Amino acid sequence: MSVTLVCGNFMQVFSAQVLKDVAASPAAPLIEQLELDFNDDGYISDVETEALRSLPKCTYDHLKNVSIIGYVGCIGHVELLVHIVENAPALEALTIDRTQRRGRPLHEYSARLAGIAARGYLDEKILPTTKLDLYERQAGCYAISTVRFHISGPSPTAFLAMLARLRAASDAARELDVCVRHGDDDDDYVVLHGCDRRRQHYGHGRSCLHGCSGVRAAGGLVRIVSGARHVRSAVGRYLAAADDDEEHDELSVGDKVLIAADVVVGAYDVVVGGIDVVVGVCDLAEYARGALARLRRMCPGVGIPVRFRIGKKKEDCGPKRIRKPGTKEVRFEDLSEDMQNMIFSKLPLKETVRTSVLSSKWRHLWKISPKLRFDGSTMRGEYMLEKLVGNVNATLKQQRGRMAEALEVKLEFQSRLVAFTGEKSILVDHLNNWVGSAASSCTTSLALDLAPKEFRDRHDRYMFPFELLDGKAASCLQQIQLSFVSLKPPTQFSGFPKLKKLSLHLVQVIAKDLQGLLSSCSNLEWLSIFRCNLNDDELKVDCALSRLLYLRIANCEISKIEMYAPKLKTFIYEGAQLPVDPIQAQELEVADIVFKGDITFQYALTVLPVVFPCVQNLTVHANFGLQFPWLLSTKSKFIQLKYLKLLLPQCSGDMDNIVYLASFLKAAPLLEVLEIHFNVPGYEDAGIPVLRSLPKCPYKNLKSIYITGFRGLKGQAEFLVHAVENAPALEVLTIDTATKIGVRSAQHIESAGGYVARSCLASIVSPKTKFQIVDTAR
Amino acid sequence: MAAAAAEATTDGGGKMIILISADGKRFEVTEAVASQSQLISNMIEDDCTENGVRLPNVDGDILTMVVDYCNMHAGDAAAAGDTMKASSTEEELKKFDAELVQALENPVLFKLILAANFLNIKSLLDMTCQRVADMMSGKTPEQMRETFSIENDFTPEEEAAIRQENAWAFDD
Repeated sequence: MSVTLVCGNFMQVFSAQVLKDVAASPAAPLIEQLELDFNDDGYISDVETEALRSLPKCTYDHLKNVSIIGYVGCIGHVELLVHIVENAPALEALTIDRTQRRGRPLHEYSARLAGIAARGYLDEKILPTTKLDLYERQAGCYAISTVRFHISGPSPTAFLAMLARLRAASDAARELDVCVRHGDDDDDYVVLHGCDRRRQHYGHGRSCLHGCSGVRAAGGLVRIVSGARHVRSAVGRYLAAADDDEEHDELSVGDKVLIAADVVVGAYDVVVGGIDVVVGVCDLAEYARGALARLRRMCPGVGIPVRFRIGKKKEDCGPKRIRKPGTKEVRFEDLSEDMQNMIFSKLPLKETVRTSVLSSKWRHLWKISPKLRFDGSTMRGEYMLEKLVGNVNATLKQQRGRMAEALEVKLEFQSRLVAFTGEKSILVDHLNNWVGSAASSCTTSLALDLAPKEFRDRHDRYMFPFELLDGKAASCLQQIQLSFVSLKPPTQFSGFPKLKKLSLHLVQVIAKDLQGLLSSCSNLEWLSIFRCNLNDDELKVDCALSRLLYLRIANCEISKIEMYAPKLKTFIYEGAQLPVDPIQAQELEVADIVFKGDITFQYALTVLPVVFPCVQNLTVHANFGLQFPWLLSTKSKFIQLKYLKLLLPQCSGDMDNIVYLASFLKAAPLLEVLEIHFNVPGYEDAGIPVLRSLPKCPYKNLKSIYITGFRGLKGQAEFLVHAVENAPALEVLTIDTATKIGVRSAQHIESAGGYVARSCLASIVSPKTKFQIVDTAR
Repeated sequence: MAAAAAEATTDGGGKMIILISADGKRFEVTEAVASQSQLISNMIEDDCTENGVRLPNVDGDILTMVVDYCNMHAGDAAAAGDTMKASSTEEELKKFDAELVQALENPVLFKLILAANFLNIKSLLDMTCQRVADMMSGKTPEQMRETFSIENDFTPEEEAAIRQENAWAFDD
């Protein structure tokens, strides 16, 4: 049976009582369809702060379809809704219509609250089998509707960082991407683009909690996967609202689609306002298409179908960026800022600045070029530093208020005075100003290369001004390159949550501070620490660097590195012994190791396979001490090594022991390509040495051998013969007698390399192998 | 009608897509070729290419170039697909790219940039922008005005003032 109740003004009444009365009637258990038509006044209060009263449980087993008309979100209405939803297990459709059929239309604000209240309560309670439709037809009401997502992923810090960017976006009306990870496994994508005036007219949502008031997002596109349901209804509402006024076109490729979002924040909640304004440009059309099609797929046949029918409101259409075809010629000035930007970014700053003189249209074009690069090393002559300082100051002055995406300065640091516009000041002040200006324009890439040519005995450094980076600026930075600075982050420094690339060169920092800094950069993908003396201290990074792909540590005097970087692909190390524990880089593919000081084969082959079990491409640069013969017998192996490159700039000890390089072959059963660069003393005796041979051992996968610095030493010849004899699949064999690495003191001595190689190998090289000897001695 | 044609498959099995330029010219390309355009790739993913893809911002002559480019470069994108014909070698590609941009006159080059941006073909956009940058590089302002047909609307005094403002960029 179907019941329709037309109710009066229940504003202060316990609305659910209505239902109780219905329930009390003998027919109640049989009601399948219920329509409640309220005529309450808007109730302006934040329902969420009040505790809901609840009615005694009672079951409406047959209730399948409920419509509430004139829903205003007052507490009674909310209670009623909750009561119905909790007690109607068979509920199939719940329609909440905020239109009042009678009486005067709702005040916009209360209508908005109604929406909030309904969703806030229902989202958790409503069964997945129930279809929920919210109709909000009042003119103007579609401007804001609110849906709520629970964000479990990001930490509050990351969150606040996102807010800072949102705020920056609305103020600067710049493009912005924000990715919010939900509890579900998919990303929500919030693309905010441009600024929407309508939005400002209506005012921005609610004030925010936790001191983040004033967060305002510009118009944009909300691409939502997990919140599809909400967006779907928002789109539906928009369509319903748009139906009333004018005809709308199909959304065609090339239309600008701008969707306003309203962002309200709680500790872990982002409330994204639905989709309401749609305007005309191609930049976002593809996103819109994609997002909408996905929505459609995700919610097949549910409620209002999401059609490719986003209306175009004429008054919202800005000038079309994309030109109509066949109109007048396209010129540089007609390109969009992004494209001009892209072109300018391929030119040195100086060249782009010079375009300011071309014509009035070009006057300020260069300023969109967001990458400010100043390179003192290309400047010549006296007062070079003064000039450079002047250039940077002048450029930054003109850039004021604009976003400089990148600021890169290369100069030789010194503490002396420099003169800028007649005033003498110290360089540090200028550097601080530059960093400050980068910070205030939310620069994403900052590079200060202050290393002098002679840095060895220099202990002065530029003290990096952490105090100039507030949380907002720090969270904008994605790339930092510092050379010849000193890092002493203050204890309360919150880190660089967005930082992807960090390069430190000649940086004075103590291990503890570096640890703290790295632990705060959880998004780091690329890290290089070069010539930063850590005084044999340990480097332990507490948090997982789960995105780190590239790590280079060179000449840093580190005794131990503890770092969890499960995704690390490339590791480059230069130093004495390897201070890395095994297990920590399981996916490592490329390793490039330079050992300082003498090491033995034994050390290399004991340590490397354990540290890099899965390495595929290994380069070892070492001065091997060849005092003892040693052939690999242990089981430690490189199970995936395909490409091995050995650089041996200076071997000491008995050169005959070179033959034991075969240990490397034995350790790498899948090896395909072997490259060895020797630097060994010349060998004057052109006689063919009597060769010892090593036990047979097949290198089935070995396809290519390339050896340079082949001087015809007995050990070299023995190794070569061993390798070639045991490599049935060898395709290419190239031997170069010239020494390519290290000090070439012995170059003048005529080498017998070519002769020896030919005589030893002629009979054993397979005809299928492409065999070449490059003999520079002849 | 168009739908039937668009559904047709090639011998290799790759689905064909029809691109329609602003002036109504139709181009039939494989999905693999068209997918180099992120825009079209998304549309393929969202299944809205059945009736051909209308590209109201791209003229036929520009689209011809884009399609040539995509055909040439389809190899790198779909190297794994064995249905593709043997992909062009790297050298051939470089030569092709160089010839493509070298030959272009200004307005056409800019139109190509617009099309590459619109269709979201990153490599083509990058290449064409690089070409413009190369054309700007190392030129005096006068030469640059000539290259890009820019009318100098500054008075000599104004021009001098601008030069003064950024003196460092002009001091060579």
